Amino acid sequence: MARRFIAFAWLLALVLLLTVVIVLQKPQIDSDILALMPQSDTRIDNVEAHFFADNKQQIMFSITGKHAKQAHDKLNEWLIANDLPARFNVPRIDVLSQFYAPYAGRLLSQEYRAALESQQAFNTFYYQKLSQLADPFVSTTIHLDTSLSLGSFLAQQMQTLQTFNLEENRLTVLHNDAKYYLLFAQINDNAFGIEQAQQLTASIEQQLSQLAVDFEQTTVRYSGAVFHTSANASQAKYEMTLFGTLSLLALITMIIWVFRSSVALWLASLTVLSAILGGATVLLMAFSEVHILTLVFAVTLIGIAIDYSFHGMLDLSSGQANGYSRGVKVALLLSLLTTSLGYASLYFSPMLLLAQVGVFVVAGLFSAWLCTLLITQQWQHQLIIAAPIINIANKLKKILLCWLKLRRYVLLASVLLIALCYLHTPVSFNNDVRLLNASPQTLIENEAFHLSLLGRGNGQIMIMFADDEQALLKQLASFKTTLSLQYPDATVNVLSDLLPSAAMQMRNSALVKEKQQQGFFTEVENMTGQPIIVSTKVLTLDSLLTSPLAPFIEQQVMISDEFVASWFMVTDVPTRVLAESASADPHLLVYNKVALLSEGLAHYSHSLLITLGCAILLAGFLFAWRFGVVCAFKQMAVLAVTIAIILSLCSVLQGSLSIFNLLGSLLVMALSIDYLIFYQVNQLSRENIIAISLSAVSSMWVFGMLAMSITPAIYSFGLTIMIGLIAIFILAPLTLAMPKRKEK
Amino acid sequence: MIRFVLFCLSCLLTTVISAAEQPPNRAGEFSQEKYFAGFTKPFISSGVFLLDAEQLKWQVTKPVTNTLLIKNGQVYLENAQGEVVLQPGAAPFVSLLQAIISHDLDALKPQFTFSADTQEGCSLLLPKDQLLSQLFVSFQLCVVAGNVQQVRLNEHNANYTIIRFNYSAPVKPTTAEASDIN
Repeated sequence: MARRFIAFAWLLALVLLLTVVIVLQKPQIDSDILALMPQSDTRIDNVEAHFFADNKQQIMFSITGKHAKQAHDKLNEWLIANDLPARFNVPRIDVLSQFYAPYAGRLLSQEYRAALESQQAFNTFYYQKLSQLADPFVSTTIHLDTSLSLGSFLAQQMQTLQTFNLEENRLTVLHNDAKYYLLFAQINDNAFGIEQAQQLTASIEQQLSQLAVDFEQTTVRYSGAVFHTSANASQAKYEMTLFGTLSLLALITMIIWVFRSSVALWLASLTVLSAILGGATVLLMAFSEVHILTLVFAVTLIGIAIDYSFHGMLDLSSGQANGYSRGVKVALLLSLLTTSLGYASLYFSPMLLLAQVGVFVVAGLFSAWLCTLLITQQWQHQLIIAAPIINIANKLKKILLCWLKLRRYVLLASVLLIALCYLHTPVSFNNDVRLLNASPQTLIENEAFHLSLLGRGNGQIMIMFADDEQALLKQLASFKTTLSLQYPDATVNVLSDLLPSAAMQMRNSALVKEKQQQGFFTEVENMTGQPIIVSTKVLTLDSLLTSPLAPFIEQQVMISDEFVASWFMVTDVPTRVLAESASADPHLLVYNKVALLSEGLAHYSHSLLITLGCAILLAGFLFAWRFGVVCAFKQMAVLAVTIAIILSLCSVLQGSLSIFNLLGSLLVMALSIDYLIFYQVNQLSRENIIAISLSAVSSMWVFGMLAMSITPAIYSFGLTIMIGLIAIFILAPLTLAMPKRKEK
Repeated sequence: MIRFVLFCLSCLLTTVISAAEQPPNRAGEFSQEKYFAGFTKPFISSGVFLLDAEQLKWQVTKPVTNTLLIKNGQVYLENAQGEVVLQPGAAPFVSLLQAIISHDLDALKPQFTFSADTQEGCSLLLPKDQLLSQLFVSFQLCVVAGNVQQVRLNEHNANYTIIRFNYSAPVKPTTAEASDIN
């Protein structure tokens, strides 16, 4: 009764402590992956949501084939009926003309500037404009500006803005001699919840299936972030349910099989719960904002914490002492110290995520260690190892003793394996975030195809920063001029096209006035009976933000207290050239989210590699202090060989390594250090062999099963742990000099 | 936008010329008067046109030379240097062009509303297309003895254009022969 009370009191104290911390700290869960990236420019963090948040809510359909028009209309009706309104709106020319009219003469197109080079060129330009069958820009602006500078300016801008054709109120585009009808829709903010995303995707897919039945020889493609969310979430949910259930059942079965008692299950659960509660409490005390990925990465704590429970329970069940043996106490303490030191090194990582993982795991392990020492031993009299397990342990001991005699051959075979793997596939890291995408191939292909339909297949987004509006406009214009001279076929649509800088506007009006004085417009003024008036009013960003183009401009420019920024798309210019331009200009950035995420992952990988090195080094010092230099050397060698086997084998099986292999290696390293310590302290004792075997098998069940996942990140993590645990299970006993009795 | 409007209007003219149920090869002169609200006098231009089974050529000769060519479902403009340049983006209107040339009323009806005009021999086409209807109120077509004599384009802002056709005059296209474009 008393021990149950103590256990519950312990749990209650941890829960209360966590609650107090939550109430006082009011922690926030952050899910912005880019925010974690140490090398990402903070300016990108500031502008990204403003510029590109809407894109996440857009879905796009392209329809082609025999009955494309009918399929388009039916899908459009369905989208409207399902509250998914079309996003695309063509600005009205007459409204635009009215807005820009007060600035006539200050905004000149390239065509108009060329026309002003000579009287003859201007007359040709002017008469050609008027003699055309119909020019909507001439019609809608000539009564506002008889010089036609305004009409010419608007015509140039609209041609840039309007990417698609409008055919009977349907958007179309020609691609590889085929006509595609396009539909864009805007989904609600709340559609990004996993459930909502899945529901929306399911209903759209159902509608597309119906269209496929109704309209033969017609292809409908769809793309949008929401479909990726849904596909990845469905896969993750399926795998979590399957693997979670299987591993939990296997773990429960294993514990009950070994101890033949539900008490062991309760104690193991209590230790893991203590670890999680203790870890979370200290984590939230240290950080008021926790990243969601911290919780994902910190799952490794469970694998290490449960081992304390196994070692503790098996030592207690041997019944050779009242309470824990000295050997187990020492081993548990050493294990806690080495693993904690390894994970503590993460705290000094420049990556916030890894620092949080480090704090969580160290605190969790301490909590699990306390629980094992203070609570678990209260149940000593109820812990008995089943007889069949003892027989298995005895047999395993004989095998390990034989194994020990063959240690040179085993080590040689290990080195040979590593060498062969390296020759087959040299170890290399590829942290391209796209490799982690678990979305169906069709969805990825649709995304790429739609980008090419939009003319962005070879496009690159860039962002220009400046101290103020005028500086930004000048920088944009200057960049465009330089790039266009170098690459005449390049397409660069920048804000300064729609809004020339005040200086440029002044130069334009000076040019028009000069030509007026030279008599360029006399013939026109006689013909129209209206004098040409050059505006003195300056078009500003504030004014443009009240224009019919405001929705477009608002999304393209951001004004903050510290800076003004604008993004733009560049096509038909090599990425290398743009990267060079960006590195030469501190105001210019190439925005490539995939590259940014990949770069961030590469930095995490680097940090993890350093952490692994630190962990091995720290463990080495402790081993040397506790077990002597020779033994420490053997243990270090085993750790190094284990890591080498993991990395080389994973390299062969995956083609290249990612951060998830290193994360798995870190967990294997923590478990390996535990095994090495327990082998040194408790040698090949029956309980020790069972505890280590139980730990290895349980970790394989819980984490190794993830190697069955088709999600690349989870697969890499699981595969690493599976290989690592097998390797260390074989190699760890080889560090023993000779069989010894358990320390008392 | 301009290309689209040019194309649609060219299609319309093609229809108008074809509507007279004459042999497919049509040629002649045209004069175009543009009336802009508030202007003291109209802007007048003139030129020649040529329509056959393969193409429509619309060439302004006065006061400046300006040529528009529709062939193989594409729109070409002759630039100041005399080069014929494809106007991308006009291809989607090929179906409309085909419908108009063949005077396929079933195909035209979804795009235009037809109504009888008060003027004898004339009919009024009201565009249904969003973009066209933003710019034009209506197109008035007047046919005499099977020949389209006049087209009037009425805009929202009180501007209008009158195009008159003369089929008897000989046609001498200057440059950009259809055979050059393939």
